[in-house]
Amino acid sequence: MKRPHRRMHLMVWLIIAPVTAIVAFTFWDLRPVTPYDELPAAIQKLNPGEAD
Amino acid sequence: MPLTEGVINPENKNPHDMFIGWDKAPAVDRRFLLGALPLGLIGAGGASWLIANELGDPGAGAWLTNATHTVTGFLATHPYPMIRMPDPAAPFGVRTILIVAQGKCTSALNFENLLDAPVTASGFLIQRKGRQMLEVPPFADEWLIPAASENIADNISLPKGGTNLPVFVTPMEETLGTARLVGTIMDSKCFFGVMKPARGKTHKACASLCIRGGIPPSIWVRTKDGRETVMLMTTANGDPMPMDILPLVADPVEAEGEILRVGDLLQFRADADAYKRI
Amino acid sequence: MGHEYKAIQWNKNKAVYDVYVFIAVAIFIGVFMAVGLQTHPSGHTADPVVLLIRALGATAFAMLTAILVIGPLARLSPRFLPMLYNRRHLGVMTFLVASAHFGLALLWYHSSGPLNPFVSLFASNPLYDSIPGFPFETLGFAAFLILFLMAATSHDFWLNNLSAPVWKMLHMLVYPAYALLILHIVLGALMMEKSMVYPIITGAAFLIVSGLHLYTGFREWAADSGMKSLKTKGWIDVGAPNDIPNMRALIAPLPKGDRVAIFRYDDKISAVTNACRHQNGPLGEGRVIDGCITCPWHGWQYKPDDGISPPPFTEKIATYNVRIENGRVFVDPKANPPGTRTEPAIISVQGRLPQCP
Repeated sequence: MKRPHRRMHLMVWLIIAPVTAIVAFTFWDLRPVTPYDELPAAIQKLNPGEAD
Repeated sequence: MPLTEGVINPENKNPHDMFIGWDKAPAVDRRFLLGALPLGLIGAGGASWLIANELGDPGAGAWLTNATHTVTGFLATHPYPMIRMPDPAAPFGVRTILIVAQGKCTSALNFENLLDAPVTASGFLIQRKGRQMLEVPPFADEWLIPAASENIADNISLPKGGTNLPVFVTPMEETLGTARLVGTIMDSKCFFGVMKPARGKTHKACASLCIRGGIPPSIWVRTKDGRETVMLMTTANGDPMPMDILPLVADPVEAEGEILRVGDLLQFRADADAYKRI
Repeated sequence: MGHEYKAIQWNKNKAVYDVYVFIAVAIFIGVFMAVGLQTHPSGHTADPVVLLIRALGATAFAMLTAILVIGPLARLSPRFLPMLYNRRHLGVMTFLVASAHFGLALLWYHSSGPLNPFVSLFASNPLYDSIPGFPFETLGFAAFLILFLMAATSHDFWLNNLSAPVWKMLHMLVYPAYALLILHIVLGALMMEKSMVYPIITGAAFLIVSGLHLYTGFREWAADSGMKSLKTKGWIDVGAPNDIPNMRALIAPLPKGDRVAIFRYDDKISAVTNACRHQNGPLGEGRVIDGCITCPWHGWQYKPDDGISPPPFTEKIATYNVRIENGRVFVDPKANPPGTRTEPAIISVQGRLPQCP
């Protein structure tokens, strides 16, 4: 078995860098948003809601 | 003739003495390190400050492990373990304190034969914005003792005789109609103050494990202007939620169900298949 | 220089290095806890354990980022060689911090529940078919396994017993580990934290690490291709003897991608492979000290004429035949077997012969 050559480090990064960058950005872009809603009308009078 | 094209002369890059690990560092390296190493420490502290300072607000909630909290009231286990006690200061004159075990296995709690009976319970108080929970040891004899129902009345200075008591054994329910909600399924224990933050992706596995262990799930509905409501989740029949709900925990969900007031607590009744991830 | 194995081979530089890393880690975690505990109003204080889990995770990521930039930086400037020298200890310490992060997360989020904590780690979030919901814990765990494997085999004992090629391959796994860590962060904390600081810091760290590796990688590639035009089958003309700085080397790329380092030491010239037996350090960027070629990375030494480490060491590297003709130094592109003695080319008969100790 030959030692991994210097060039192999470059090859590994040529694969890892774009793949990770694209995958990471795409995944991050899909992050969920906070699910805001109105409080149900039925409970408005019971539970005026509290500031978080 | 010059140096053959392509031949590298490393001295061009490093004309100075060379650093050798087992020898004394050359002056040029010492000078560089004297500048670089303090910068590294400042960089570490600065990066750490930036990361820690930007963390989202973990929200309200407290887990009071410094003192044992004792309550007296009536024990119920359906849909989830709780003790209800009369409290004139509370809405509808009832205060409910949910019971959870230490750790994440509340379904293992043993209540002996004290269901619907007056009891005194001791544990650590967990509370978030007026909602309360008692964290108790796993074995009943460590935290649960029978109480005379008169004692309950004594404790809250109600007239003796127990005429008001049955209302707590089977509390008045009020149907508030159906609603379509958008919110998040929380494990009530962590959410009420045991873990902060107890929301979001990083807490999803823990929340799912807690609910699997019998800790009551709640649905948390927030408005853009910072108001919120927290409702105990049950099935459409008012039973404990099945494990089918676990994959949806901590994610944004939408569900249509029925809202009930049971004592001072709100319940949201919808079967697991009514919940959709959004 | 493995004539005997000790748990850790200490010297003053290593001790200073380790103390410095320890202080840096203490500052990072200390600042994180202090700031994290007081940044929100009273009543909204974060859980110290959750905060510590995050502090440890952020520290381990910062440490791995530092480890990965040291290599290319040392290729750009020798001033970073002191940081490279003891990088292995930095790696082992990173593993320890990562272990604390993993252990505490396992204890806090996955223990004392109805499932075995290790089962919970993989089962509590079952959304393996979702992108934003994907169980990021598994990615961190995979990176942790790689760090464990590397820390466990970090000693020169393993370097020798696994053989250098296998060891180097194994330790190149740190690159995918870093990619896994990026995704662990993106699919974990970045899915819930609102501040843009987190994607910016994570992205910047990754761009710096991958950018430096790509930049230095292309530079090396260009250097290797520099002599391609020669298409030489015969001996390679390197330059005049005096073009080689005394006690230093010129490096000549060979057609097959190897490199040869041609050293001058007083009136003699010898050529050896440019790759150190230890960790492929660039011998040609080193110098002759006490009559021995000395690697700039970890100070391993070889006699110039036969490529053998001075006693008591026994490491051997390949040598190359050299000769001087018409005032030019020629090197045979065919390597001799490691440890083969070659006759140094003599510039002048005068001068004292250097001696290895």
